[in-house]
Order: sequence, then C-alpha cells, then structure tokens
Amino acid sequence: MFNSHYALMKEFASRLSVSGREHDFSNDLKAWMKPFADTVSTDAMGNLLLVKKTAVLDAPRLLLTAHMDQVGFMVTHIENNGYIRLSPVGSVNPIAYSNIPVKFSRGSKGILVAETNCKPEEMKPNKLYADIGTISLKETEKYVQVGDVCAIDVPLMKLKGSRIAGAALDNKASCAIIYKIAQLLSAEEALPFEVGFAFTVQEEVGCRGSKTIAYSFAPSYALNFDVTPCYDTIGSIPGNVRLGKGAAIKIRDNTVIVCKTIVDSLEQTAKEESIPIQREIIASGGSDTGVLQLTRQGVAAGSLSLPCRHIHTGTETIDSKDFDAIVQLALAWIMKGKVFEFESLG
Amino acid sequence: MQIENFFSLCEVFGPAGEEKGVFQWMEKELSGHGVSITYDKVGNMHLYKPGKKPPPNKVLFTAHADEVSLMIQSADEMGFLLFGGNQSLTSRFAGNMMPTAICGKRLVVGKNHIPGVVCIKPISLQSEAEKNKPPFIDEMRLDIGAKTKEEALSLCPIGSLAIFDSDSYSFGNGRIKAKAVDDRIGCYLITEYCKQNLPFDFHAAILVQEELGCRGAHVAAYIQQPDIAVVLDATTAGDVGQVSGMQCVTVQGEGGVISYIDGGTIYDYALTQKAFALARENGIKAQVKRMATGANDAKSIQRSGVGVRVISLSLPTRYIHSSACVAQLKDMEAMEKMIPLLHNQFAEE
Repeated sequence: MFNSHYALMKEFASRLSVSGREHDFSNDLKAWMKPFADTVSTDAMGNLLLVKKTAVLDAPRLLLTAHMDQVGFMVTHIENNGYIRLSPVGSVNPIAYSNIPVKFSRGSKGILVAETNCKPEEMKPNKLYADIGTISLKETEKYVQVGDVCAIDVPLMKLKGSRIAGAALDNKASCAIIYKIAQLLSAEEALPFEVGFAFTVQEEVGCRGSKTIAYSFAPSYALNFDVTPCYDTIGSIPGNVRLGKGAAIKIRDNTVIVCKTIVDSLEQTAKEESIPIQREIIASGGSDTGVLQLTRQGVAAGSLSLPCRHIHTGTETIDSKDFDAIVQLALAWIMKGKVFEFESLG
Repeated sequence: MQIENFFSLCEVFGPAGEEKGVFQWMEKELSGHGVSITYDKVGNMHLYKPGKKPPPNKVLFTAHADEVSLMIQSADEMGFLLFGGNQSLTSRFAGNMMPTAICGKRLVVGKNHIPGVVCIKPISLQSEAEKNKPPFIDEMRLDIGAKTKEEALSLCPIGSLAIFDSDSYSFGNGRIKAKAVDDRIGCYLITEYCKQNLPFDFHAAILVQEELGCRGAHVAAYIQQPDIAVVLDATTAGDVGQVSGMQCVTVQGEGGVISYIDGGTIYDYALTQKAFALARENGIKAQVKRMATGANDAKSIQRSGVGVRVISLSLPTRYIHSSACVAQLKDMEAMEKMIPLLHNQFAEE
C-alpha cells in the first residue's frame, strides 16, 4: 500500500492530529491497521487499541505504543477584527513558531505570527496569533471556530541520502513504525502471546492517554515508540544519540529508568541480527514509557526511539536507516519471544 | 437561587484538609430529600439521589468543598504565627493563598475561629527594593495578639488551619461578594439539584483538597467509575481595569464557562460542543475560557482508571482566591439552568 518508508511517513505526517483532536487520524489508522489485528476499540479518552489475539490461554500480553498526537495550538478566542488567538498545546518554542504557515482543523490554511514589536525576551507562546486572511469575527467563524486546532504546515521532503525532514515526524514516524511492525507480524506464524498496538492520545500535554489504555489492556510488557533528540547539530549539548547511527534503545528519560532486562534483551537481539543500535539517555523530555511502567501492579516497559533533530519544529529530521533498524529490531525481538526471558525483574 | 442560603455556605469554615463543616451544611440541607450520603477514606462525600430511572451512562457531577487556606507551621518568640516554610511566591505549599492577596487581611484559625491579621515588615522599615517586590510567604506573620510563643501555640497549635474572615453581601447591580465562591457555588448548585424530582438517578461527589492539587478527585473517580463527569467549579474573570479580549480569560455577565482547554485538561470535544448547543437551544448564556490557564478536578478524573469523558462548567469570578470574590447573579443562574440539561443529555449520550 505504501511503497516506501518515505511514502508511508509522508501520508501519516500529512494528517492533522493536535492533542485532544486525534479523532480523524485515529480513524485513518484504524482503517490502515485493521488487516493486521483481530479486534479494534477506542476508549473514553480516544486512545486507539488494536489487538492481535493468540490461541494460547492466559498468555502474556505485550503492548506496543506510539502517541498519535502532535504539538500545535488550540483556538481559544477570536478578535473582533478576525485575528485568531491561540493556546499552545504541548511544549512549543515560540521562536520556532513565529512567521510560519499553519493548517486548521476544518481545512483552512493561514500564517502564525508574533505580536509586532514584541521583544525577544518577552516572547511567549501566547504572543503568537494566526491570520487566515479574514477581516472580521463573523468571517473567521465561517472557517475557524473556538475549540479548533492548528499545527505547523510543512510537508515532508527528502534530503540527501536517506534523510527526511518536515513537520510532525514526532510522532507520526513512530506510528508508521508500528504500522510496519504490525504488517510484518501479520505475515508470520501465530504468536504464543497477545500483542496490542495502542495509538495513544495527549502525550504532548503530559502523557495523559497512555495511562488509561495501559490500565485497560493491562499488559505484562510494553514497548513504547517515540522520537528522541540527536546531539549532532551545531550548538548541541553533549549527548550520545546521532542521526543515522541506528535504533536508539532508551536507557532513561525524565519519566523512566527502563527495566534492564528489556535493554539487555534488545541489545542482544541487535547483536544477533547485526542491527545498528545506540544507547539513549535524555535528562529532560519524557515519554509514555514511564506511565506504562507504573500502571497497576507494574509493567516491564521499554522504548525504541527514532533519532530526530529539531524536535517540535517544522524541520524535524530523521534517517530512514534508523526507521528500518527499529522495525527490524522490534520484529526480531518479538519473534524470538524475548518477552519470555523475564523470570524476575527484581 | 436563595442568595442568603448561598452566603451561609460561603461563610462555612472549610479549608483543604478539614472540609467537614461544608458536608454538615449540605447534610442539613439535604435531609428529607431522599439523598443517600457516604464518605470515602480520604473524606470525599458521595451523593446518590434516585430518579425515575437509571441512566444508560453514569454521569458524575463534582464540586470541591475546600477553600483556599494556610496552615500554621510555628510561632516566633514574640508570639507571631508563621505559615510558610520556604521562600516562594506561589503557595501551593500553603493552601493556594497567594502572598499578594493576604497582606493585611483578617484570617480566622481553627475550629475556635481565633482571629488574626496577616502582617509583614512595616513599610517605614522596608528598603526601596523590598517595597517594590511582593513579599515571600515566609516573611509574613499572623498576628493574633499573643505575647509569647507559648501563648500563640496554645491558641493555634501547629497544624491549625486558617481561612479568610470575610462576610458576604449583595451589591452593585446583581453582584455578590463573599469568600470561598470557589467552589461553594458548585456545592450549592448540586445541593439544590438534589432537592428536585429527577428523571434520572443522580450521582455527585463533593471533593476534598482540590486546592492542594486536585487530590480527593483521584479517589472519588476511582470509586465512582463514571462514564462522563461534569466538574462544577469557579474560574477567573479578568474583565477589570484595562484588561480586554483574550487576557480577561472569562467575562462576567456572559454565563457559565465551558472550557475547551485549560492548564490541566483538554476536555471532551463532543461533550463540550453538545453543552454549548444545549445552552444555545435553551437561550442560556455560556462562554468559553479564552486562555488555557488554571486547572480543576477534571485533570484527576479524566485519566482515572479506564478513562472518563469530562467537561467543566465554571462560574466567572473576579478576584478568585481572595477574601472578596465577586460574581454576578445572572451567571450563577445561567449555571444553575445548565445542570438539568447536561444531566439529562449526557445520561443518554
């Protein structure tokens, strides 16, 4: 259906899914993913869960998660002269969002600009406002209403080599990774355990959706898929992860110290399969992984991250080679039944 | 709305951590109206009023009982009480009383309502720098007129809770002034609704410790497991002075506030749209929250268990969290009219 990683990611990234408004993208994901799962459901918060069942009774449950929301803005007020005032949804660096093209829920395109003469030191997300070319409140309301959302409108483009840049790779790229894993798993023999594919909501505003879907599915093991920052740009602070150096195995982030057994089994699988990997540690920045880990009586949770430069901008950059490494590593880890290597996690 | 009755609820001593005065008021009002009342282990009050039939969806209405407060931490040698432990401008550490809102104000402490005044260094002794910045909580003292540390602590032991000492009245073209409008308005409207004959069974939870970070709500939501929750609260109205447009956040006279987003929650889109449609169809004023500021119990309820669809309905209140909250009667009445509409609609949504 998608004849390349680029085509797949471009399709996913083109869908608008600001936190709290994931519904339309969720419906698309449901349609794309349905051939690879036995059951489909959504929960009260809008999380999408597809489950690949097993014939084995009382089998362990593995949950693969990726958040399907993206950062953006919600319309909270429209001025009498038609300008659109917004509230940031998720962590938004106002400098990266000044003077950019945006697209709105109901299809309108516009520009996002900073209040004129706003000093750099006064710059905050609520100094940004949108203009769709209308000149009155009434006219704006024909196209955009309070409660609608908008996000940066920069379609994906190919850079040299296997690199791709554009908006919303965080986290559409990981949703695409789960799609590929599900697709490849469907061609394999039946598994002796249950696999859930969960596309979670509202991660960008505090990992909110993962809490309820993890509670409902109650997995024993979970693998989260998200992007992770690279430390190979000009002006970057020291750090390990680099673009193109392979699948990043999360050791820790702001929400979690990943279970060692998961890290070890992922690294061992990568060695056996000759898949390039790198270790990921980030001091700031969180993920759904920590929420998964602390659900109910606890979950052995880990994460495979896609190295990504310039996260939360219109120029997010990834390498297809890393995308591929993650898909291959996750698939091998699942097929080898690594989930069964947990005797006691201590 | 029986405004004098509402005032008596505002005047109840009910700081975060000691809300039982509010529950006693409500139990007295609800007596004889067929409402069953239980309390959970953290002190939330759960109400159940049977209606003509059980609703297909379980809808939970909530309000929080607690008001902003301070806790007495210690006393100094001169008999002044201290209530802040670390240097910080915001006072989540205290029960959400803001340093700028309490200087010179009258408080009452504990069940004996010991009166005191919040004081800082006299202005004649302040440096220029000190005069121009808001004081830190730990620089302030509560003067109860005690002469020694022992006397102070015998009247107000460590751990005593203090609230504003503030009366209530109507004024200025349909406005009221009182303390604790946040969130006695929610408690009051739930009480009044419980007195009626209802088409559907009605569940409500009156929550504790919202001002300390929406704590009681976690437990209440876990126990109730509703499909849908309607959080009744008060929110800031900034339509004063030179403030206009988005910066007001909400505006008095425009009805109850139904938010799409605030600092803690992105509300259920379909239910929020439905609430606005109900208001429009019934000629009731309702407004949006113009900035995503503040948070309420919805943030604890929405992510509880398997998840809950939430909306909020709030009273636009000037000078919220102060000793003199100001609200408009017609906004309170607009909120009151929305409750049966929301209950009946969401019961079958």
